[in-house]
Amino acid sequence: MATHNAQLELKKTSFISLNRIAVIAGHTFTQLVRMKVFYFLVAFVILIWATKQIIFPNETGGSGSPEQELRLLKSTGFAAMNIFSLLLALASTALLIPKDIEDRTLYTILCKPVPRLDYLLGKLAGVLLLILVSLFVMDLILSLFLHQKLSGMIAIHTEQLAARGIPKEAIQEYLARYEAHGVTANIHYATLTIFLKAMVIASIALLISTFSSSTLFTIIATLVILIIGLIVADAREYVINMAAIGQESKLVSTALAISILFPDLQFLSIEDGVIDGRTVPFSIMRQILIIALLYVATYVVLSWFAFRKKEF
Amino acid sequence: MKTLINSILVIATLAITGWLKMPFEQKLAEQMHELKLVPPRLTLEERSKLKQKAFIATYGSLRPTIAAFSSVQTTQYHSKQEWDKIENAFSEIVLLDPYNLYYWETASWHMAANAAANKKQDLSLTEVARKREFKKYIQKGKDIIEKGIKINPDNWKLLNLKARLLSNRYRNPNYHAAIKTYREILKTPNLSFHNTKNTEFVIQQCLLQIPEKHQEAYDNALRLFHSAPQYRKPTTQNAIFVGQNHPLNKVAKKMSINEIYGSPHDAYRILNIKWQNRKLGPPPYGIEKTIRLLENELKIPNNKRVFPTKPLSIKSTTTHIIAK
Amino acid sequence: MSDNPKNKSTNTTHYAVEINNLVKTYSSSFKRKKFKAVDNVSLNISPGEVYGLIGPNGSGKSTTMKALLGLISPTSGHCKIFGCDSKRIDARSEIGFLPENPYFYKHQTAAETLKFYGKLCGIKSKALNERVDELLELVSLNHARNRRLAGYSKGMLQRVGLAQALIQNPQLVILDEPTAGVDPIGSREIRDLIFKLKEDGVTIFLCSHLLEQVQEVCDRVGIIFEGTLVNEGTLEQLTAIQNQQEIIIENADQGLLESISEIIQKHSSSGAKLISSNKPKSSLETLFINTAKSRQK
Repeated sequence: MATHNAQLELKKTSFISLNRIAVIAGHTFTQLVRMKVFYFLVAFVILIWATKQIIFPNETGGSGSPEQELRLLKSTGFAAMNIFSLLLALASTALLIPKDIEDRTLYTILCKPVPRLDYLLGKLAGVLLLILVSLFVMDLILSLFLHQKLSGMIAIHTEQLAARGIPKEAIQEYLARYEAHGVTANIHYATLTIFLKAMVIASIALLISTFSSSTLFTIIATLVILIIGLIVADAREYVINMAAIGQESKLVSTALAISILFPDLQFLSIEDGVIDGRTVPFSIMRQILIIALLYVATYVVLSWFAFRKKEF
Repeated sequence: MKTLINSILVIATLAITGWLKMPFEQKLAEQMHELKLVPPRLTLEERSKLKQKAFIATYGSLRPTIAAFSSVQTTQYHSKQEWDKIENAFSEIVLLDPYNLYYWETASWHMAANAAANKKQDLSLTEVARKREFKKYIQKGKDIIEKGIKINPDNWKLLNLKARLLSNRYRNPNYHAAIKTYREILKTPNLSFHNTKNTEFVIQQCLLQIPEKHQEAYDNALRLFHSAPQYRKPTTQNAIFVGQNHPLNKVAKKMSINEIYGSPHDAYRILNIKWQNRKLGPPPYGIEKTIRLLENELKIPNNKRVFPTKPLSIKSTTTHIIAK
Repeated sequence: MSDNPKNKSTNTTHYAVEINNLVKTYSSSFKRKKFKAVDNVSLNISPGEVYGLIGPNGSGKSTTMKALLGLISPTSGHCKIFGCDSKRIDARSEIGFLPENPYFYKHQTAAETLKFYGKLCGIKSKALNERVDELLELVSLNHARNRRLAGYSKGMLQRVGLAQALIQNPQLVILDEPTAGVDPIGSREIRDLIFKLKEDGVTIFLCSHLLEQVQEVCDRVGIIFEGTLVNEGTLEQLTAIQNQQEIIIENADQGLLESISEIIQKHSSSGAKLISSNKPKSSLETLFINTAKSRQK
């Protein structure tokens, strides 16, 4: 038997390594891609194309219907992006860790010099990378169709308005209204907030999956937190208004105090404003980004806290 | 025990971070509501009205989408003249997408134009009932617009919608209220000249519909006429002409035909049209006389005249000679 | 005389694996009863040694392994790998682990799987590619390197598992049931691989139910029963029937056999007696392998 010096210089493993995270992220991304999730993009193209064909009749004599068509195109696009990214964030993240535990692939990973934080971050990054790529492509598709629709609309309406003898300045004003619904930076801001929303949901699902062994429970719990997050602002306002008129309820006030545990997701929904053709100031976007990143950082740290001593 | 401690730590962390970020979030929420980047919050009553749609709609971008597809559905109700269903559908639609002018416009149009007209012609109702229903639906249309204005106080187009309905001659018009509303539109900051001009013209037309405002109509027309060349249109031109011929108007200085219309030919053309539509506006003071004069001056062939001259008869000439 | 598990060396700095007074207790959430999966287990494995831990199902073998791998925290006691606490991540840089019934990501090929684990260990691309080629050759999976693992048989998955355990050239390899569900040829290959690793000075810690195979490869064996290490020692110490001697003679004729029998009878006063005299048996495994080889030819 060959002798061996037991005093091995064991290689130092850093607390966190971007390389390792990238490896796990790339692996997770490939795993999800090979589940053929990108086929959804085909459905998206068909949906947007079909929506582009819808023409609202100008029944009232008002000028609103071309804008309404642009709104519909944007709202359908954003709604599809939201649904897709929500499902992916929820299902993928909720599935990943329990599946790794059940299949014991987690053992082979954690038995390599891989800190648990790297594992968690890698998994999350893989899911988010997939969502990011998907949303990027969907944003491109939506922008393309929107641009096409708008160009066509502008050409037709310029001709029609000029034929009616409308002065140039008035025509410019009409067109400016349409162009506000076109492909501006606001479209991309809205897509970015959809991504941020998915990021927050994925990090919540990650947190729950670190202490729950059931994928179903993780999905349901995340959905409940999501719903609470969406209505918590309305609920708070209701309680404040009731308190202002002296109609408080201790139970409701207690529930409201507990609501600070939940994320307030109203900030991550600027799509409605963009659909209305409003401009999103960069300062607002910056604040939204900071809040989203803070949420994600909190949930990731807590996930690591729950996961670091988890036994398998 | 360890699990309990860990759980407490997690909850405590969430609570502390939640509490720390609240003021920041509240400030951001106010800014976003101010900029209308997010839809207005739904009250409990509104949520209960929307039922499941409220939950689905709370997720960003789903509100306008559900509203849009619901509005497409209302075309079915329209074809079947199911006005109550249209009203209910739009009451939900405007909750979902309250900043979209299209829905307020369409909803009020369905009530004040379509439903009202339908009820007016509904022979299954008595005369009294028809008039009552007609009035009721016009009022519904107005109420919808008022609600829209309350939610969108800075949207002048809703005021325009309201004013148009108030000044619609076929919908129990209230020209006083219409003028008041149009004047509010004129106060809108950065209103384009085109829209300002159109609004001024409509105010002028409303003034002409109110007999007791004849002086104000004349003065307003003069003001517009002299303010910019774009206002020298038949609306103001005819208002000046008729106004300065009104027996009760105070006229500082009468303007000639050429000053008002630019040329006798234009005057003849415009006054001709005015005369054809004389029943739709105020009494056409001075128009008949002026048309006759212009027809002579411009030597308009008799068969093309508004007031053709009768040929002179021999009998009438003889009578004249005998009398002398 | 077998080693008393309590007679362990006090010189802890020379061991590849040290497990000292390991206790692991689980609480049942419903009944609130505590269950001791491992009760005061202590064992040491010297570098380059092949150590087998055997015991019935539920005896605590896997729990002991998991504590060593840092997958669970000991209730008390500690585990060290080359002098480093097993809970530290640094300890895992020299561990290769093959779990029982390994399951890998189905969407990956064998080559991709090995590259994935290699990258996690920090092996760079050129060296990694070479290592992957080497390992696939070693475990005879070159022909299927680009096939997705979803299409692999159990034996092939076991070999991939072994390859990933060796990806970073670890000095300690932990094998949990390495030949479970594998055919005799595959088992033989794994056994040969273990021998090769042993020659290279790699320390091996394995658990298995297949006692014959443990007997073939292990230097030392520990027997664990209901969470307690009840016996430990070299195979000779554990399995030798001390008061019996086995002599195998080739080409002995009947006369020689009778002479030997007479000699034994002459010494019967010292208590010696002939227990049995018959032809030694080959194993069914050897027969199977020889048959398979001859069929392949």
